[in-house]
Amino acid sequence: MLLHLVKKDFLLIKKYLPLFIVLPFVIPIFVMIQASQLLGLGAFVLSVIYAVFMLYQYVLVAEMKYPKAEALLCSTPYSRSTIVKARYAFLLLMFAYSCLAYYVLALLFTKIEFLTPSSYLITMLILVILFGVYTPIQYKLGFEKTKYFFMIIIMVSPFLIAILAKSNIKFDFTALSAIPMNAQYLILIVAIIAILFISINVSIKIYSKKELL
Amino acid sequence: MNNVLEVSGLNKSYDEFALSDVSFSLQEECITGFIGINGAGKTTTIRAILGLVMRNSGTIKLFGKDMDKHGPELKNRIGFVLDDGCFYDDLTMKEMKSIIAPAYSSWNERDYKTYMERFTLCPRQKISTLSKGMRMKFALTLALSHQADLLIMDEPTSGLDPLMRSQFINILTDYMKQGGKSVFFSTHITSDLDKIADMIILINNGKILFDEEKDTLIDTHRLVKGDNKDLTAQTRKLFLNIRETGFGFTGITNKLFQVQKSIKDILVERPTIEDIMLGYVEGGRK
Amino acid sequence: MKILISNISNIPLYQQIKDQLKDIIFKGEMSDGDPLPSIRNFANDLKVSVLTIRRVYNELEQEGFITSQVGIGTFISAANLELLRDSKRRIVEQKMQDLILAAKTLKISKEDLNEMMNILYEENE
Repeated sequence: MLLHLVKKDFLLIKKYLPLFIVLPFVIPIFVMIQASQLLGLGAFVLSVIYAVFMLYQYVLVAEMKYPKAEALLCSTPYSRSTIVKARYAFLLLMFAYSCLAYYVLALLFTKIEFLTPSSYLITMLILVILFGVYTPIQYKLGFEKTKYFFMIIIMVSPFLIAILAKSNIKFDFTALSAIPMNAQYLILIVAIIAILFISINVSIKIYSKKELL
Repeated sequence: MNNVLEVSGLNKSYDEFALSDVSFSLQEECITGFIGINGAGKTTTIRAILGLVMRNSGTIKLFGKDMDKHGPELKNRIGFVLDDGCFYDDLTMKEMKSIIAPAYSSWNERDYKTYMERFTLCPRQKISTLSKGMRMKFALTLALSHQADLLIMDEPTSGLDPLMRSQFINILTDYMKQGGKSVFFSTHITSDLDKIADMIILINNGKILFDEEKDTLIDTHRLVKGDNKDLTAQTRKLFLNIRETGFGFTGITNKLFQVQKSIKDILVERPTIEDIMLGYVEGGRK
Repeated sequence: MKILISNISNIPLYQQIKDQLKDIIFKGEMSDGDPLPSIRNFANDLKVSVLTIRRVYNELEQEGFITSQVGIGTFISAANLELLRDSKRRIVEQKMQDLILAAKTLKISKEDLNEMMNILYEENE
């Protein structure tokens, strides 16, 4: 059931699919050429944020074009919670694809290093925090009122990452490296799951009460 | 006779409008017409039944089971047609169907193909390119392809030409022939109901005015035409509403016997459902 | 089978259908065991509600004119017909008694009464 709703999101952005297939490859390559000091975690985070949030924005725009279709979906046996979960699954799928793309690039280009598991997890955590906070708000207020979020993310993230790359990355890792590897992974995984769990449940709660006119 | 749908004490308020204590039942194997003027509350009621809006109070039971507790299971048995289809217009019919069909456990692919052919719909066609009539036919196709026992439709024929409305009626008739099926549809085109409805429910200003067998309605009401001079304070009370022109009056009454006693020179006709609806709606305005 | 519904008559729809069906049975246009149309087909053809036909069938069955078997259909049941005819006859006889009594009170002779009956009978054909 859930899969078909994820498919729905893909169908909605069908005409942009080529863009999103290529984007997770293009961004790291772009960084490699233009700003190679940011390579590594920074480039990956940027690539993931751009890919996922542009996709998210496009899907929300498509849904807003046909507001009545929501009523159609909710009149079928699809439950509101499944509809919400499918949206999260869709975004996470894009993340997974971005991971794959980066891995392939690392295979192809020596300049692009392979990422450690903790890098993937940290990126996932950042991503999950961002859309974990945004999504319930979007369900509550609607896309129209919250669309500036995307603009801000897209514009601000390159700068933020550049700043962070210069100053903090070393700091982050030294703090964490005091704890054994497995514990690091565990903390990250638990944090990711916890945030997702809370965000999904809040979204479901909000969406279950939404009036579809 | 079991009640396919039971709505009890449905209340829903908005700023400018409210459904007040809406209660009615749908009998099995009947076509029930839900009539009212625009803004009377038909769409809100149907949205409440489908769980699209949160109601302030009241219960909705389908096939004897509470809608709140058994939503998905019950929705499997409902085929619905919402005003204007409510599709993602950018998709093709095939893509739209690929999203909707898996929601239903008793989806019947053969029925789907049969209807698509019968309506001459090409699955690969984009929904945005469909005419209003074709959209309705596609919506009906989806509604009829999962062995639904109850069809709920919100103004399915609005904007359709008479030929298409006649085809729609034929489709409903065929659907009912299967036995064990029921239909509930809202409309303000009451001429369709004159032909096929078994029961009529009238809603006005968020309240149910009547819930009757169609033939009983028509048997108990009459359209009366007569001379204006026969309209006195007494005789006016016998009518639900009266329209006066320079040439005479026309009125709807459910007290024919008394009218015939009081006014001698009258023309009496069987009313249409529209006449009766206007009688109650306009009459209620006084 | 001819059933015509009048739009002008004051008689309720179901009554009209019921009466005409009874006429058909009495006149022998349909006999014992003949099948009646299904409720839905009948309703569609006459352009009335299924609930109306259901009521007609139910009442006719109670009065012994038809029988219905679930899953098979509805059929004419003329077994009681003779009994019903007799009872109808009795009603006519009763009315005649009243008529004769009234005529005698008004001092109308048997011949005059017969003549009146002939004229009125012709008129009603």
